[in-house]
Amino acid sequence: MQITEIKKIEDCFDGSVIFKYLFSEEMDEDLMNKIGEGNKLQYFPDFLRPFFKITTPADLQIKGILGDRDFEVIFPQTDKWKKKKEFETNLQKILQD
Amino acid sequence: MKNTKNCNIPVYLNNAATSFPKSPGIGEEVAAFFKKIPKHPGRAGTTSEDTLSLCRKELAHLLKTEDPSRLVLCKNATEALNIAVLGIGLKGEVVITTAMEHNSVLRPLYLLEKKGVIRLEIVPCDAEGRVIKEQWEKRIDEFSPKLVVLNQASNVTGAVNNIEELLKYAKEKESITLLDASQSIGLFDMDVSRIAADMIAFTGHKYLLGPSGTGGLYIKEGIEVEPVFVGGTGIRSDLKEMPPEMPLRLEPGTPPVPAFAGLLHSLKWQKENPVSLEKMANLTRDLEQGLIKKGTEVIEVAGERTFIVSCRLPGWDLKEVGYVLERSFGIICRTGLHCAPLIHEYIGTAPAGSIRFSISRFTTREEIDYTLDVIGELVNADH
Repeated sequence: MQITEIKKIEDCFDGSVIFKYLFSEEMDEDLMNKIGEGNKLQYFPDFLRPFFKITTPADLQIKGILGDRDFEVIFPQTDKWKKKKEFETNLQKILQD
Repeated sequence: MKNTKNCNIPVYLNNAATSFPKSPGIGEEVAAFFKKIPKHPGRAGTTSEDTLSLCRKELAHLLKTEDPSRLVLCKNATEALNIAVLGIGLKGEVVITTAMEHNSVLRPLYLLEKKGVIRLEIVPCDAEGRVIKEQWEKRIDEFSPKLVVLNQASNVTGAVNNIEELLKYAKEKESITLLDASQSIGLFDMDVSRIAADMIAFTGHKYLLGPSGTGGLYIKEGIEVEPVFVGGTGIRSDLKEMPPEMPLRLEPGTPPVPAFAGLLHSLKWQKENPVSLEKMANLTRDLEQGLIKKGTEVIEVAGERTFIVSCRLPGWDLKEVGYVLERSFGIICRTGLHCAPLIHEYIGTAPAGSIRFSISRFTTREEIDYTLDVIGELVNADH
């Protein structure tokens, strides 16, 4: 599984930096659990299409739908670019496993 | 589309942003435009029976004015409001507007304020998002504004102002009155002979069911608006300035004729198929009451209103609700400030805003029931 595109998303909230990550394959529970390791994982499997949200100790919020090929990440204002780089490095490792 | 609980999804409840579906047959009408040789290519003719002239006539009929030349066709309400605000001549004047306005009103006014052109006064609204009459009158008495700008209906709560009363008061004090009818045109009867509006800005892609790229500005006879945009008009090409003839004076450049062909189709369709406001009001009331029963914090609106319900969902971050509703359940609504940043201070939804559901004439009972079921599921979800 690979990242095919990273898009910045504009919204009308507080200026948080939000990026959408697109993947070559559909996300499954295994990937969600790997990203959720060591983080706070909230999972709603009973929703019509299962929703998950992961909050990291660095205050990143990752949200997505299992079966989709993308998720969104909200990076907090402080050290956002550094945190984005770290997140992407970790994500690449998980995807390569 | 997927069928869930007798309801086809996606369910579209974002009609205050742009309506969906549009009028039946609109796609074919716009497509047909490209197969015909243009009658009056690229210019807003007012004498021949071209698309723009016919559209202008239909809009004049809708606003109950006999003079279509007073209707300037624009690409949206924002353009119309900019033409009005920036073209009216406000140097050194006071402008009064309200806390319920959209950024399409506020930002042109902030720009003039920042440049030192105007003094801007903003009238507060009540907890439903309706302008407070006493405050409106007090500010007008105090500042004798040259221009007042007022929304007929809030795009956040749906509260409708008594525009006859409010605009009449401003007119009696000799202000120029500009009405933003973006959220009301196509829903409510609009008669320019009865309301004291010197100018009315509106969009074509909301409740007129037209394509995006359409809108307009009605300018009453006797109100002079200087061109904000200048360029070719197809007539009087020898002049260095824009010609004095309305509406061409304010319509330089090639207009989006295919989009107006779609709007023309929608205007005719709506005339033949009048909207049932009673049905929309019933669905809105049931949605509002259902959301309250499910445990959401609804901005309740009494009295005249459009077909919007705004609320907040305890236990859920507003940033997530719109995502979950659309991606998990196929319900398309809008969350946030809705481009109307000031109203939230008054209705208790600052700083993040609200979840906004807005229905259309095509919304069904099943769609409302499904939405309420889903909201119930979210309220009860174990975090």
